[in-house]
Amino acid sequence: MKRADAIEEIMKIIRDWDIVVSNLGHPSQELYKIKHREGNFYMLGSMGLASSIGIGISLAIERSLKEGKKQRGKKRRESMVVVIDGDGSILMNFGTLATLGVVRPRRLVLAVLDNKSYGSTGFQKTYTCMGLDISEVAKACGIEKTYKLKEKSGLRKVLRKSLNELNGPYCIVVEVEKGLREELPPIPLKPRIIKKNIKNFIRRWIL
Amino acid sequence: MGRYSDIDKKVYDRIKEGGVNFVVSVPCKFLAGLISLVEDDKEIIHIPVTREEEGIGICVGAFLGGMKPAIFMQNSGLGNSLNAIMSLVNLYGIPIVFIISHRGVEGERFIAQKPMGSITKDILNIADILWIEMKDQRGIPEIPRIIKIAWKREKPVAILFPIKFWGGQANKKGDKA
Repeated sequence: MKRADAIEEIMKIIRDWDIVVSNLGHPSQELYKIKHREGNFYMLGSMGLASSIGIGISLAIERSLKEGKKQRGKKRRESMVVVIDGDGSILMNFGTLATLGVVRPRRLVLAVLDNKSYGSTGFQKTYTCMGLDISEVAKACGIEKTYKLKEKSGLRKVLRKSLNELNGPYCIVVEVEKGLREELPPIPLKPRIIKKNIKNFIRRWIL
Repeated sequence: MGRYSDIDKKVYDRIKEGGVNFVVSVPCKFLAGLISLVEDDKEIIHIPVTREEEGIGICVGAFLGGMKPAIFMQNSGLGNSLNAIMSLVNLYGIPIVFIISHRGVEGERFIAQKPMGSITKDILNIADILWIEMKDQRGIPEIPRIIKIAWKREKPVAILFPIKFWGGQANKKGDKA
């Protein structure tokens, strides 16, 4: 499958109250086109930090949910944070795998959509094209719930299980083909709007 | 239980008074007391991180999730974080409180600290980060007011602690640790 196919599967499975953080470049543009929603944080710069942003959000909502803050009579939702990340991005912030393995944020699914390339800059090869296996690094860092797969059915199964179990972190390395599925327009949203959207979303569903 | 001085405690209490409830840290010898205090504080979420840039990403997430984040770091880490500051923190407008130990200035013994030490304030200026320098203890009561500016403007602020702020104390506790 192509990365856009993987993103589509992910977005079919996540619940209305889950938060999605997407990597800069093509992944964010694909996510915007496939299923834009207020709960999507489109990272536009700062390559490598999608997973870190996801870690921060998951720790914050874990604290809020633990403190039992209720939402004016509405049912409290057990939200998860799903990070749509890439191989090049993980390589640039390699320490993030260590942080995930040590800090262990429960409400986090890190989906590494591995196309073995830096897609947004012209598909130059990354180390995963030269023998590096990110899932092995993740396991060595102590992320016990690490999966490596390439079929849609496998992705659906693992993601569903992760969202229901609520006991991460989960690292799902999905091998995807290089290339775009279709033409991608740039995201028209201003960064401050993206920020406002996600803060409102979290306030509405969780805080 | 960690080691900290009276000055560390005064600074720490004011940081909390400013509203900070989430801290990431990369150690500096001069911040050992503050880090020790935050490690033992159950009210605050504290995440030691591998690199300042990573820490800034985590702080951004924490803010989006409703918290009020700070990073305890050495000024050298500013160099490691500039892209995150410009294309994430400033681009989206995220308030992060930078508690920065300023090395490479008066009192510095290590030559490698001097290059970054000499451009730290320039970096903060170029990055449009409002900063204040704590020359001595008399500035401590200002800390909450400065921190609250960050939340109000949804922009980062930095509080610089140069070597001489800690007086002779830092050297003592650095050697004991």
